[in-house]
Amino acid sequence: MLHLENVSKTYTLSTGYVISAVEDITLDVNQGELLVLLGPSGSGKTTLLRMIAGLENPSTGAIYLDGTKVDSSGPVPGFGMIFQAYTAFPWLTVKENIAFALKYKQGVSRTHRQDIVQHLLNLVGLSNFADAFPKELSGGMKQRVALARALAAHPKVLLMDEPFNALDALTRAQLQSEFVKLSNQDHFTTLFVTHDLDEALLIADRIILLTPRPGRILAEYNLRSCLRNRDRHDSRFLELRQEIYSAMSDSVEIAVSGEAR
Amino acid sequence: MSFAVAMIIWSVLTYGHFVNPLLLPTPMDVARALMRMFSDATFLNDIGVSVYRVMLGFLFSVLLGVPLGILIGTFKSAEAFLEPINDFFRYIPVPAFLPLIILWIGLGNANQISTIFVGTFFQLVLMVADSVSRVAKELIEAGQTIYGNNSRILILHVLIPSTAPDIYDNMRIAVGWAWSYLVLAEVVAANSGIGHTIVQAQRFVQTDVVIAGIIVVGLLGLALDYIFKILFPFFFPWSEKGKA
Repeated sequence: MLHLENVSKTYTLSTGYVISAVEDITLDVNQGELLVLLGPSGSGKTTLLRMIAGLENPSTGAIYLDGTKVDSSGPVPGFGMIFQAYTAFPWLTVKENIAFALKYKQGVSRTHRQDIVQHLLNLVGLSNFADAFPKELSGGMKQRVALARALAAHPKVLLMDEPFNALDALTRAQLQSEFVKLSNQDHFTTLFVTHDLDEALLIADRIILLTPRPGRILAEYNLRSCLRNRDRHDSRFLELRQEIYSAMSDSVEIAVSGEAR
Repeated sequence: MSFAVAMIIWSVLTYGHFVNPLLLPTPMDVARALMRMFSDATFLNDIGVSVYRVMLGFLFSVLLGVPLGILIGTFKSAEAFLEPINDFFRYIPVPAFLPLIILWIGLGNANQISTIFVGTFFQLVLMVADSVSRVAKELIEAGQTIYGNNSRILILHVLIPSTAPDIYDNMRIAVGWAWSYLVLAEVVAANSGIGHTIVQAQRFVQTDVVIAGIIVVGLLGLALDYIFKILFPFFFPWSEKGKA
């Protein structure tokens, strides 16, 4: 579905020093799958997501969506991106925010648009806030609006950049489980970026672990096949958590000692 | 409070005969002058003329300055091309333009309207460009992930609405300047208007009328600013700033 081939990204600092953010990433996101990119800060997760959405260009390598190369000359429609920052448009009501994704597209009739908006309002549980402005909403609700708006555009792949980071623990847990439920029910294809191991274990079908500075693929875990349930107390769950945790902290230590040199 | 202190000092100076009443009349004298002026149709007409000039000068300034500011704030190429010349004019004090305006345009309404335009336009362009360039980047990017690089949609439906409250504030500042430049133009060269009234009174050493005129100018400026302020939540009910 979404295929990344040897994608790398380097930045040249004003001092002339070249830093590598992401190095030689090759991966596939399969149809209907929830793939989590897990990595500590500095592993280039966000950069990777932004390159896929066309907000930045890869230095080398290529990105393919459904077999066609993603044109790297600018932002690409077809991806629904949800950012860590709240991006619900403050001047539009909840309803209008969701409708925004359809309003300036051709071939979507007014009544059809209203139907989709109503459906998404129900889906993310905001029907009672249809006419509220974002300033009247909590952080969790703002992210629901962002999700509904992204879904309204009917994206082939949802790109989620630590969307629940700014939320308090309870809201976060609630949104995580709601998102997994929605995802299973509607079979979204999602690439989800996080540095939170527990979040990754709770929601992912598959986890790809990245190293810090530069981001490279360190390991891959297929949770669908090795985890029967997402119970935090299940022994297999805890084992896997321990395994990924050690791999993560080892990679961070290596990176830190490398920088110290 | 600060007004009260000013009034007390003024009263002490005048009623205590510390100053020449020809140069600083008593508050009562000025109040009487105000009453006289407001019962005089000519002065009411002068106020009307002044307000008309401010509105028109400000309107032209906004109609041209806001789109140009948005252009400069949005496109690097427009910034490189237009900002230097805008800055050049911006740094020339308005009085330096007055002789040219008088030569080219004469003393009629067009004179004061042009002066207001010259005084506010270049500043407004800069302020709007600055507001627009500080637009929240993630809002634009959210729009881009939906519509790609369709700049028409992004500018009209993301950039402009998101910066509109800031542009409105820029306009509020500019209207205050418009008011100052109006009085400047009327004091230097005009046949009517509040500024003209003040200069005429100065020629006949009617200090009470001069001061009354200044007070009217101040109050009208304050009223104009207040109108902008109270209309903000009406235009931008969604803004965090408008939160009651």
